[in-house]
Parts: sequence; structure tokens; C-alpha cells
Amino acid sequence: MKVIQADLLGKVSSLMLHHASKVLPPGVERAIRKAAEEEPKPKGKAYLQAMVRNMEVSRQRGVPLCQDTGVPMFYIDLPPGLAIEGDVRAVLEEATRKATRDAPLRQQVTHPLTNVNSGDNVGWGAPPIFVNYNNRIDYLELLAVPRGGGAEIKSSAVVPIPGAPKESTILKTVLDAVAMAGGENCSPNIVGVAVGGFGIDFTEYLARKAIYREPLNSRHEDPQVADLEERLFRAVNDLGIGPLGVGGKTTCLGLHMEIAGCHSAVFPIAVSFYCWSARYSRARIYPDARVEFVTHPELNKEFSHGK
Amino acid sequence: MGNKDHYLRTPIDAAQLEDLRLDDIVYLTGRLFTIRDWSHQRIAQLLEKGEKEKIPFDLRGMGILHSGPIVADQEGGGWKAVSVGATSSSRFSPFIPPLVRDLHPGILVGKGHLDEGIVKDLVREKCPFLQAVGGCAALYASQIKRIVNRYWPEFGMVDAVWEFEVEDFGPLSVEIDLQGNTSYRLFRSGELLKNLNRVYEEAGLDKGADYVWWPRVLPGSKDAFDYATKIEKG
Repeated sequence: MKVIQADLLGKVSSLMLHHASKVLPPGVERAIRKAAEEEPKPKGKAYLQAMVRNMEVSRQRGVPLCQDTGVPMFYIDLPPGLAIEGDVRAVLEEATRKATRDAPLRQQVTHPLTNVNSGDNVGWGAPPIFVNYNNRIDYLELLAVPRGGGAEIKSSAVVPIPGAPKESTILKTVLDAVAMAGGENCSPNIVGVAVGGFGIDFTEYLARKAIYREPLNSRHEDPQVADLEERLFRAVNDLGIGPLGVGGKTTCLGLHMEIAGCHSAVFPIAVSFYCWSARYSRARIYPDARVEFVTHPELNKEFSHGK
Repeated sequence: MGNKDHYLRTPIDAAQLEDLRLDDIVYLTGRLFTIRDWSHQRIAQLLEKGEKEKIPFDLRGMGILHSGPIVADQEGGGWKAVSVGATSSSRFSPFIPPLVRDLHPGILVGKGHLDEGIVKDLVREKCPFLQAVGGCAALYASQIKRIVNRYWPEFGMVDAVWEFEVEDFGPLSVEIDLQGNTSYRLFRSGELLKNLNRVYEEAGLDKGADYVWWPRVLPGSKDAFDYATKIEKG
């Protein structure tokens, strides 16, 4: 059994969370620039051009892209034969405090009953940490997401009637969810969809995590799922909602679907959105403690000097 | 439809507001105040109690921005704007009519839509609703020249009222103009409806189909009580 020290995880996560709030993954930035170039409608184009300028100003000034830096979410995928030694929750809480001070991130986390704000984005179980045992990788994968509220609240999950026609039900549920949000989820979005899974929180987890699939708008390995993804991606963009619902040809930058085994009478469908400012950072930690920043490779140099 | 550019300066001249048309672009110079959940609520409560004099800032002719900004302390005192963008405005709809009626702001800037029911209040009080491009908080913060003041600090950084001095703050698009046109209604009942019908037809979908087993209605919503106590029509 190889062991990675929790302290290493903490140092890496803090940098990731900080930089995720300021620099979009390259694939997302490219997709926004492409949408801005190709948009024929003047108002939609003006909106997309403002987004491009925002990415540039954020980089120049070193400030968060969006004031809603959200609640940090951490995802850890662990391969077989690798363990973490130490107090993972404590180091991720400390990483959150540090990124909140350094970026700075908005002081977001509040007690749900009293509205008391902890001031450092830590408290009462926040930040959430999701661990997945993944036997298809041989490194630890870490995902840090400063997840804003505007897209999260328009995410939803339903349980269809067991006999409902599968494809029509999936298509209608996703298209209805996109149309209801109508761009107020800060479109163009990345849309995550999950079908199946049990309980419903697992379905929602899969939909939300599907958002961060790379490359952006790549297809699922199961051809039936890939076909649904492709049809949904086209249909969503055909709605013409455009940036922030002002009309335009790009409503979603990518659409990713996951499936999972479920109860025979309960096949939940979850739809999750991320705003155009789809901020996340992914890194790999190998069993020999080597760190590779995937979405923010500029951190590779900074990290090797800084440690 | 407009698409004309307008440069406004606070206190905003009412005649200039009459010229704004749906989808025109506005750049604001002067004073802009942030309002969010708790400050909106407090303003509404004070006005309801007839205690307008307890509101420590004067919004007449000024800009309001629905925002919970990131602000940092500055060395040697004061603050600097880090990231300042608009938040979803629809949740503030109930608080807006008394605010525009009694405090007479020049323009209201936010994100998304406002309830159709309050459009008449905005038109009567001559306060158009403008949208800041969602997610562009780095860009908008760069147009804030100075933070003039902070009110109600007990609400914390996000919900306090911040008074900014801004220069060419924009682009802001006109979403509700003083003719009572709303881009939200036009788009949803026009282009989106047309596109939805086409996309559903192409996909062979029945737009009226009801595939959902649960939740039949949302717990906590106005329909839940009736659902629990009445038999559904089959």
C-alpha cells in the first residue's frame, strides 16, 4: 500500500481552489471565445464579448472571475493500492481558509438556520468532500470547484413513472429544465445529466460531476449514451436561449451524461448546470507524490518552486 | 428595438431615461449602491413602518446594483472593489415596488428577470431595469473608481450596502423600459416558444406529456397542501 500525505493534498487543493476562481480551464475559455466569434445576434455577441473581456481583466488584475465564488467542493478519486495518511478534512478546511484569504474568495458559508457567516467558508460540514474509489486510474485525482449558487439552484432531479418511454422522458426532462432556467443560470452552460443511480443524491452527484468531464463536450464510451448526449447537445443549442437568455446560438458549451444501475421501479433523472464561468481545477497526485496540475499547468512550476 | 449606446451620469436626468429602449446598452458614471437580500428586506421594513429617515443613504437619481460583492480592506483605511457582479434579481421582486415609490432611484441593475406584476411600478416610478452581464464581476469591478461608503456593516461584506463611484460602468442592457416593454416576456413568449415547439416536434416529443412520478408538486410550494388533501383528476 502506497501512502500520500494529507498535507500534500492540502497544499495542492489550496492553490487549485484559488486559481480555479480566476482562470477558466483552457477548454472552457476556448469555447467561450469561439461562441463570441460565431454569434450572429448583436446583443448575444455583445454579452459574449463582455465575457471574453472579463476573462482578460480577471487575468490582468488577478481577481476572481465572478463575485459568487460559491461554496468550495472537493472531489477525491482514489485508485486501488493508494491511501491518504492524515486528517483529510482538516487539511481541506485549512486549504479553503487559505484560498479564501489569498484569492480572496467571497465569504459565503453560512449556518442554514441562523444565517451566521463563518467568514472563512468553513463550517457546519462545509466544504463538502466527495470520495470515490476508482479502479480505472493509478493516481489520485483531485477536483476543486468554487461552485456558485446561480447555476446550482436551477439543477433538479425527478423520478419518472417506471413505464414512461425512456428516451422521450430523458429528452423532455432535460429540455424542460434548460427552458425553465431560460439562461438565468448564466448560460452558455455546461450541462450535466445523470440517469439511474440510487438514491437520488447519487444521481445528482453523477450529474454534477459529469460537468467536469474533459475534454469539454466529449462523448460517453457507451454508444447509446453518446447518442443521447449528441442529440441533447444539438437540441439545447437549437432552443436559441443564448448567453443569459438574451437569444443566441450557443446555449450550452457541452453536455455530458452518466448512467448508473438503479432500482427497477425508480430511475431518477438529474440535470445539473454550470455557468459559462465554469470554474474548476483538476490535478493528479501519483503514488510517488509527484503532482500534475491538469487544468492549470501554470501551477506545475509555481508548486515545484514553492514547496 | 434599440441597440443604441447611452452614457448616463448620476443623478440621472429623467428625460434621458425616457429615451432608453429595450436592448439598448447603457454605461453609468457616478454613484452606484449595492442592494441584496437583507438590505432589500430592511428597506422594505423601514418604509412600511414609516421610518424612511432611518435609511442612511439617499438613492434619489442614483443607480442600484443587485450584488453581493467581494471587497477587500485597503492599506491605510478604506476598501477596494475586487469582484463585483450582478446577482439574480427575481427573488427581490416583492421588495422593489416600495423602494422605487419612496426612494426614487434612477436605474435598477440586476440579472435575469423581475416578476411581470411589478413592471407597472417601475414604469410609474420611471425606473428602468437593466441587466449586467452575469459572471463578469472582474470587468465591472475594474470600472469602480472608489468605494465611497459602507452602510449596515452588520450584514457582512456580502449583504452590506456599498456606495461605489463608477465610471462608464457597463455594458448594461435595458430589459424593462419605460414603455413597459420587457425583454423577458418578449423572448419567452416569442422566440423561445417558437424554438421549443420546433425542437420538441423534431424530437417527436409531446410537450404536454407528464412523465414525472415524483415529486408531483413541490413540497413547500403553494400546490402542496391541495395535493395532499384532494384527489388528483385522472
